[in-house]
Amino acid sequence: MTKARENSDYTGLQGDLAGLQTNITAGDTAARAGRKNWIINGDFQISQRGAFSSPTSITASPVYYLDRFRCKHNNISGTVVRQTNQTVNGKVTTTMSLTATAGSNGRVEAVQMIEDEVFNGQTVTVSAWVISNSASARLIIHQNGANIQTSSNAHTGGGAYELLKATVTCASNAGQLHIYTGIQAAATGNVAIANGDYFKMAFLQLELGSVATDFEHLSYSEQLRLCYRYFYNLTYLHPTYARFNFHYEASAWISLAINFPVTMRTMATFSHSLTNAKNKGSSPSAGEDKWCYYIQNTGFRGNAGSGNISGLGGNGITHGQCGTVNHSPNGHASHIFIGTGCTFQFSAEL
Amino acid sequence: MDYSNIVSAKYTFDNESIFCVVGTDNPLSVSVPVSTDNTDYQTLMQMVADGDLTITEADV
Repeated sequence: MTKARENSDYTGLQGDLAGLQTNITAGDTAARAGRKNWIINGDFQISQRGAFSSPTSITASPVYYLDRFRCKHNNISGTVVRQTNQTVNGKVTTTMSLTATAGSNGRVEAVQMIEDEVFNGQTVTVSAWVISNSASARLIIHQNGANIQTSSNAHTGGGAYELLKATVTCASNAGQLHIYTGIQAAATGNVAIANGDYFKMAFLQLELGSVATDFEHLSYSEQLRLCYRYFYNLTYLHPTYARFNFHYEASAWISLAINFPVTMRTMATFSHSLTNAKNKGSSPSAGEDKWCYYIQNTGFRGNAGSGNISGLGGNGITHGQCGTVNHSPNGHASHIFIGTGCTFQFSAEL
Repeated sequence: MDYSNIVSAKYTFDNESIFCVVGTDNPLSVSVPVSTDNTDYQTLMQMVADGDLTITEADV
């Protein structure tokens, strides 16, 4: 090998190494860049309010069903359903479907409002795999501060999964982003919609930049923890009931504190289904919308006096301070047992 | 929260919350904090402004 050839090879190798180093750095940076999907529960793993495994009617007023997704219809009727073990783009996942159960000029939609306001002047891309029989199935990025809507490509309505995506450079006053999904006009208005029109979605993602990249998968526990900031359904240490210690305050007054797994977005609304009539007087069975007191050294007890458990109220950010309720008789009620069929929830949704 | 089925609404004694009974057949007790960041509170205030809801004063 000549000296000139050696020098040429060496120079070429140096060029290859420089290119390789650039690629590694870019790839490594991307890999270490942290989370990219601003949508929470974009693969619909979490559904604390219910399974919704069969079609559930949605209303004209927006209501949360699956975690972080608020659904409604306009001028028609519709359902929402969550289906597990669906194969989409070669991957097994969970989907959320909206179906019109009446036809008219209307819409069915699910929206997620992003709490963080960090998108002013930023380019963002939303994407999802969607199957639909409607050519008005789409995703929409709504800049709430600037009142600007950007639609994805509409689905062909051909009944197969298609990747829908939209990219926009947000205004300087974009504010919160609201991501609309469903069968609707490009600016979130009504469209001609027929009974049986459906919109089924998987892998919803909102990311910075102009490219729709592969969906960022998080584990169930990671997604659940993100959802807890907005909604916390009482979780159970026991398969049939939750048991909480009372704080015995004075006389027959009692209260209980429910610690939240994460700090909630704001002071939470507390909802429960406990009434005196639902006091079973014994340990609730699995799935029962029943509850009872437990009195130290006495055992399970029902109501016996003027105490009214339905008056149990209270709110919080880091914990729900629930109480106080006047418990009768004036014994040292040490615990409350709440059946798994009871509603006992805290909401701090947007 | 099912705003269309509010049976009663009343401020708690310290005005920290609005205590609502929602529904009749299987009623829910709903405690909405008096907090402008809470969207349930925002909706209740809008309902009051629209004349769609009356919230009883707290017991003294």
